[in-house]
Amino acid sequence: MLEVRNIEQRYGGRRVLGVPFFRVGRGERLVLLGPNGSGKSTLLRLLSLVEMPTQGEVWHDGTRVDAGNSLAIRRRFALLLQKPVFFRGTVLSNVTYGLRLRGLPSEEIKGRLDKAAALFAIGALLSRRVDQLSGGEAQRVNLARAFIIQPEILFLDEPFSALDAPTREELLLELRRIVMETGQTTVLVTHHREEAAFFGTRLAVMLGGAICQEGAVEEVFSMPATDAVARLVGVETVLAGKVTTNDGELLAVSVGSQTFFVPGDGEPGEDVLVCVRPEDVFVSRYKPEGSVRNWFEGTISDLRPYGRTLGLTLECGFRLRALVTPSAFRELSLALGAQAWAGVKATSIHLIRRGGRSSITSQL
Amino acid sequence: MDFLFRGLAKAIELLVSLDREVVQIAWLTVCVSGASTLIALALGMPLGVLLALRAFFGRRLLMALVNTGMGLPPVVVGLFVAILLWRSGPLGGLNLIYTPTAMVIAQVIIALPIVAGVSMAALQQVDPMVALQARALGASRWQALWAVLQEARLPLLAAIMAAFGSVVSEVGAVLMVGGNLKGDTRVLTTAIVLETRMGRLEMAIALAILLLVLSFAMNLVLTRIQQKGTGGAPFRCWR
Repeated sequence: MLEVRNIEQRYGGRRVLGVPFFRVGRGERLVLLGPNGSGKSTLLRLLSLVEMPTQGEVWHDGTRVDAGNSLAIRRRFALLLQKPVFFRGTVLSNVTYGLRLRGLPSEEIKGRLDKAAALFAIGALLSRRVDQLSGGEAQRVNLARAFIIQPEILFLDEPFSALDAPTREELLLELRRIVMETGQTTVLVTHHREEAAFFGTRLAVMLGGAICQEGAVEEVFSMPATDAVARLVGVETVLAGKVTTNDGELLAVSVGSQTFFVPGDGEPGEDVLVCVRPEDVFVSRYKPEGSVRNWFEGTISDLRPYGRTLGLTLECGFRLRALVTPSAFRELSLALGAQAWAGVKATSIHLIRRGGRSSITSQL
Repeated sequence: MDFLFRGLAKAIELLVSLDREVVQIAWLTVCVSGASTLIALALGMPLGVLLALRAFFGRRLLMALVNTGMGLPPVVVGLFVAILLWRSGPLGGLNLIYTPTAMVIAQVIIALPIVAGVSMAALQQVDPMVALQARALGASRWQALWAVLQEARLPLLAAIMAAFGSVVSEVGAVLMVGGNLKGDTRVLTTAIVLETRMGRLEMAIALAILLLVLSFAMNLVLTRIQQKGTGGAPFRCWR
């Protein structure tokens, strides 16, 4: 549907983006995830054709985009900016702006307006001036004025980042529902991994102006290719280790004085990174009986409230991050400085070859 | 003070009776200053847009020149235009000296930097994301520029008001290049000077009132256009 080939973007001579190949497929809910300054918004602007790359090509349905056809192709898309910028006037004039630009007849505009107003519950806001909207209302109107265009691809640049958490959650839920119902091809830029995991079907992780990894959301989250990607997708424990043995089923990986058992096919002596997600760590006051191969005893050295959960750090020869619910924390009589056991299932651990991008094993 | 009241009474009489000479002077004033403002707008607005929105070599120098031009003394403009258009001057062959065209040329030179300078400042105040937002919703380059101009509508109309105000009230340049010829190049400001010098204060006051009314009417129209859709005071805390 839409492809970029060997694109590079420079601002004032500084290279901010370089992507050899990237494709947006029809019906996809694609997420570009990355920290600030990783080039994800730049890539979004290039994909949505509001900017042209310094080098490289953009192709749409087999046609190379050039100065002659870029406006016509761009008008098949809609881009939502991070902070809604409204034009002076009413909500109505803003929502219908894109349609008026395209010279649609007034009956068509009216019909689409009614649908968009109902879809985003903005009917009561239409006569209001845009400077009288709350943050949530403004973003709702912003979404409506993009959807009303009925774009082939909807590009969203961190549309909810400036909103409070409940409003953000509510709007994201609503957006996902509408996008799924309408089958709208969507590209969402975000730096929230929760948003990415919730919204996307495909994920591209961006760092330093490049795409580091792309694939199905579950795949990228469970099999990050590098330690940087791992940290970005929520792996809080990334440990340098060395494969010591391989019995054909499990690898033994030494990390300091401790050993992890992980399924896979690495070579003894190989340097690896051991990735453990905090939600995959069980915490117990005493070493429990069971099939879990990796149990480590340590001291709780840090406690942090993460909204509905508590994040704790266990010093067990290395730092292991875990998540527990406040009720579990109380029931287990855990406390800062207390001794505790942490267990990780072998299949929950992901290994990354050091210096390489490919992973050895995956979470099963 | 008596002569002032007599002057006012005479002024009202001249205005109500639509004195032919007064009407002719007022009409020429509207034509000359209106044409000057329109030409300055046609040239100055694109220049302001260029300076505000595009980067090019010499931009800052041009900005400084425009800003300097905003305070250009009319009498200096009049002097140089007169030298150029003088019979023996480089453009003397055009026979424009002491014509309304010469007055328009002088007034355009006065108004153009005002339009360009205020437009430039107005457009630089617009959120750069406005153009991006317009393009994001499918605007062409020109449609995006229109969106930016719309956002700067208030100060852009202020630029027109300032330009018209400066040329309609200006006397030095039009006197030097127009010559204040009765029936040909006499406008309200030059006529006021002449009538005052001749001691005909009633006429001078009448013309002065007319000049104020003209200026007010023009600004009233522009203010209505400017404030349309703004919904009154924009700052909620001062409502």
